[in-house]
Amino acid sequence: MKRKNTIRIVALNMLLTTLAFAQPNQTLTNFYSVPQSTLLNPGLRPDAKLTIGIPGLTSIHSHVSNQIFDLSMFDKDKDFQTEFEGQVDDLTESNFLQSNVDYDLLFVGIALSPQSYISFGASYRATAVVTLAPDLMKFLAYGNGSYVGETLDWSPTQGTGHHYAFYHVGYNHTLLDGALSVGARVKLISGMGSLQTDIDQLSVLTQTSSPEPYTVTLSAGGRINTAGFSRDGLTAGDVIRDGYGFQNFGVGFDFGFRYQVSDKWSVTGSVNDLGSINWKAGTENYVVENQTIDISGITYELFTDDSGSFGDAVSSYFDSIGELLDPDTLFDSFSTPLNRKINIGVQWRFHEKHELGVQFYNEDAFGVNINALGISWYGDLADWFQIKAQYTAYNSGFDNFGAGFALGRAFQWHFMADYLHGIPNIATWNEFNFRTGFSINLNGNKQTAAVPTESPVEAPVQESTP
Amino acid sequence: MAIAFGLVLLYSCNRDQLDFSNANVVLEPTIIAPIMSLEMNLENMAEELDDISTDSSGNLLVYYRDNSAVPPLRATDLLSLPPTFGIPNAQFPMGTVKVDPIDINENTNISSVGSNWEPALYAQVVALNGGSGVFPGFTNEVGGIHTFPAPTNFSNGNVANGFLQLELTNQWPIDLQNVDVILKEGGVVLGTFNFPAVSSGMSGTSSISLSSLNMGNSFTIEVTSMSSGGSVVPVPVDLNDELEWDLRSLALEINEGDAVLPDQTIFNSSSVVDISLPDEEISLLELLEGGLEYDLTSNVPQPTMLVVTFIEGVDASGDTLRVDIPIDKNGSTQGFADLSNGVIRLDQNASQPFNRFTLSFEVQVVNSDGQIENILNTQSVSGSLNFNDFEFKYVEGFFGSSVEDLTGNELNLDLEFLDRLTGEFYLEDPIIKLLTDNALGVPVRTNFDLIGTNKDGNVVPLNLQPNDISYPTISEVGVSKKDEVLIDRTTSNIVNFLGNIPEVMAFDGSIDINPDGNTGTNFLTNTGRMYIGVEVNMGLNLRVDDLGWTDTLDLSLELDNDQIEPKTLILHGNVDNGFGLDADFKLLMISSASEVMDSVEFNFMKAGVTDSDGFVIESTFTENRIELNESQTESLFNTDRLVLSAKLNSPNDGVDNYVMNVTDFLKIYLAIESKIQINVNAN
Repeated sequence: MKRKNTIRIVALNMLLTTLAFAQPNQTLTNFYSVPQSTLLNPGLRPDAKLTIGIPGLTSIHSHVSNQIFDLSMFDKDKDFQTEFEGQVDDLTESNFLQSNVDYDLLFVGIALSPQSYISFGASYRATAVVTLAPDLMKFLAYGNGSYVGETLDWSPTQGTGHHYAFYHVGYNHTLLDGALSVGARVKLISGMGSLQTDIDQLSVLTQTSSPEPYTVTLSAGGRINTAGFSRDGLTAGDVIRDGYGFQNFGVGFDFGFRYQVSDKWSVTGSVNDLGSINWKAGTENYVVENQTIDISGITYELFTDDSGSFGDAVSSYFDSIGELLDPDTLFDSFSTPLNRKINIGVQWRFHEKHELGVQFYNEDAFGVNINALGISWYGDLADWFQIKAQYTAYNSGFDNFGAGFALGRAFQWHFMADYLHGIPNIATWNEFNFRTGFSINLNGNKQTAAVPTESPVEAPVQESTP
Repeated sequence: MAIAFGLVLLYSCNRDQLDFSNANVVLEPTIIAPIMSLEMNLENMAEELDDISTDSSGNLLVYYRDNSAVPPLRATDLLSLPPTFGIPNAQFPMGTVKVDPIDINENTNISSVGSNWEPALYAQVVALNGGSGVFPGFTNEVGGIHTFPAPTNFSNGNVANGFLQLELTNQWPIDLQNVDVILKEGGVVLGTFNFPAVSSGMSGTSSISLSSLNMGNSFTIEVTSMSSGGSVVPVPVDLNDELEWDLRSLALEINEGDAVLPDQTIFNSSSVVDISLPDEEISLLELLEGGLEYDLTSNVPQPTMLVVTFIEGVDASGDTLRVDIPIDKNGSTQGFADLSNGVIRLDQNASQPFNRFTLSFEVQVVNSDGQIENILNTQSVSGSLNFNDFEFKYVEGFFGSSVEDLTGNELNLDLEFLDRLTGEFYLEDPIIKLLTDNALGVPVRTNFDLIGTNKDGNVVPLNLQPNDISYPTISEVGVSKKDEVLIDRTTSNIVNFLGNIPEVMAFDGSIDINPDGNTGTNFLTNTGRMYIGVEVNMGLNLRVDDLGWTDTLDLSLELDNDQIEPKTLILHGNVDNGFGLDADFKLLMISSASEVMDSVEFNFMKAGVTDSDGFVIESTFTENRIELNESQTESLFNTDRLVLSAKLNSPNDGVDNYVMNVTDFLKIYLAIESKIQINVNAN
């Protein structure tokens, strides 16, 4: 019972994480003039000699992508069953539900010299990815009666997520008379909670064989790892303490560069979140060994084992099936990888105040591969106001439009949103992404076309590569 | 701001278009699930059902056996000994009593005797005193009266019989002849002693008998005559030379009196004891338990011992069986003497050679240790001697003719296989055996019938004939004889009896003990039992026509979740039938109020192919698809229990026989297909 409760808590936590940020908003990506951009590409050096993020409001970012279902099935003018079945029919194994939250509590950047720049800070991050097996949804919609003789593979149903606090220190160095800027950042991570599935096999086959009609072959095996969920009397204080306790320790690295090829052309690149978290404290593992059984109904033995009435025999029969999925509970350590991200960009500053760019983005989100290719326009319209617009194409859609702005210089507010076009049609709006934050920048130089600031590429949501 | 406001407005419109709370979120998957996979053969059934067995060929038998179908007949049911018998008023009087022998002495010298002679004669003798001389002869001289001292061990008594003996020792220098002496007690003459010749230095004795007289202890003798030839030659003469008189009693017994008593038996007699039994004639009895209970009183002035001896009895060691009962003087005693394991013959009395044994009684008195005791003829030992709680370990004899009624005993067959069947069926060669296991050495004959009653109350008798039951002979004591009385179609009404499918078999009648009277010696041991059992042996070579079979499944399929509602239901049933039975099934859906809500009937399986002997040689495969209508589906899922009844027929619509063999098999595969409506947002 405790195990089931724990699973429910984990599932609820994941759901709440999604719902908490699943609100309409704007998204804007590829905005690079804010100092916090160095958190995405440590190869970028902010122009201010001293940057202090407003504590608690340095940067807040939320992103949700729902590739599994849209809300049209709840349209009061449509038949739920028909809509549901239609979406089930369209569902593929590459569809996923992703949620990310980044909350930079503190950020400080200091220019040590014209060539050296150091930054440090503290942040919180939560990220989760869920995939649903299309065959599982088909079973719910149609039952196994429509799939006699076919194997319904439920194993693509996976879900992994974790949340953690990390403390980072970054260093940037300028070379080649300012043409090349490289940087790196190390993150010391204190894991706060994790859920990780590893379903090896989970399938149902309703056989057509005679003389035994409709024997069901059920295969199952895999494990679910959790950490930080199963403590009795878990309080918010416990969660906060987990943020600096380092009982579940991890390390991450970011690397980046910017190279000014010519006055007008530059290339940028970064690799973020190389590393993992090793979960040792408060872990529980629910393990089902790989096994396959044929369910052919109540057998003669159940009638004759003196277990009691026929009803007892039926209960015993179903219990035996339930035991297949009854996991063993272990307390082993495990690790979850950080979502490794790659940004590569080429920028053309065709005008003193305007720049066009092309960005490629790749993310490995717990095994789900996300790729995106976008084009952007950056406008340095005034010393106190910059704006950027972007179009991004990804595997499952070509309708991602976003925009954002940065307002102010010494005291700067930035706001970026994505998927703006989805707002009028909430029934089919499956994405949203936004970022906002405040910072104080002292002794900053005005951004010029000759010394562009790399535009960080936010994490666009892409359909994973099949 | 205007753009943002417009976007929010558009969103709000869309939000209204979506209805999460009232949407009819319904799923209707079609679920197919196997529910039963039964692969069984009759060997499984034979193993699982206690009442099914197999013969050497693997053919099935309905087998029932109860080795003790009625309460066992015990030896104590056939013979019970009277709880008490014996001598309630026993009397052991004193009778005559031996007394300690009287032995007293008196010496008389020449002076005391001679002074009574003729004076001249006495003067001659006096003249010789102190010297030697020729002692003169004399004839018929008197010798005077002389008194004995009183004996210390006898005061007085009424003498019943006995003797007094007087011994005369002659210390005079001359021989004496014809000495006559009168003995008196208290002045009364008791008798005369005569000594014809007593030589000098020698002794002579003389006795008298006593009977029926009172005697004290003041004894005197009077020498009424004495003679002597004197001496031929001179002999030394001294007037103090003595004659020694010794008076003794011999075997003196008195009825009353005061005397010292020696050890003696004062009573010795025997008596026969009858064990009162109405018809039984016991010749030998070995006791398991029981004993002699006594309550005795004695006014004898000395401690006594009553010795009771079983003349024809021995104890566990082979010694004569006896009981010694000590009684204090002038006292009483009560007690119980255990006679367990004693063996008593009861056939030694010629006038009644059964149920009778002889006891001898002795009353022994202990000596009075030198003390004079007062003896009265009213003194005795008396009281009761009763034999109580006799239980036999072993007994021989003739135990009479009797009847043990078995009516009222019932045998609940409890045959699970038959309990589920209704109707009648024909069995080819059934057998019932009466099983007996008898350790009672008594001729026994059955005189009862078995009455079979089926679940509907139909009664069919077995028509069982009387049968003698084996029993151990007198040379087979300890052996329990097992026997079977075979009851088949030639000796009874067994085909109809079992064809009635009896639930209960009732005993009607009795078993008779010694039905032909006294034909020989019976015996019983206390542990002896006779068990009567019943074995039913029904070879399942049968012919059935619409034989009913019913089973109730306490299986409620009622769904307690309002969100799930089965809309259709199809039952897929594949049967590979290696039984020689057709089956038409009917499924009744019963409500909690025990009302039939709905039903569905279907032909479920066809009989396997049988050969001319009734053996299945090929199975028959049937594929069933039973689709329930909406009403039947609803009833099924609201049922409280299911009643599954079947009509079974042997091959060829019940015309052909079917022999049930362990190799016969039945494979039933059931699956259910149902379109289920799931109302996700139902309240």
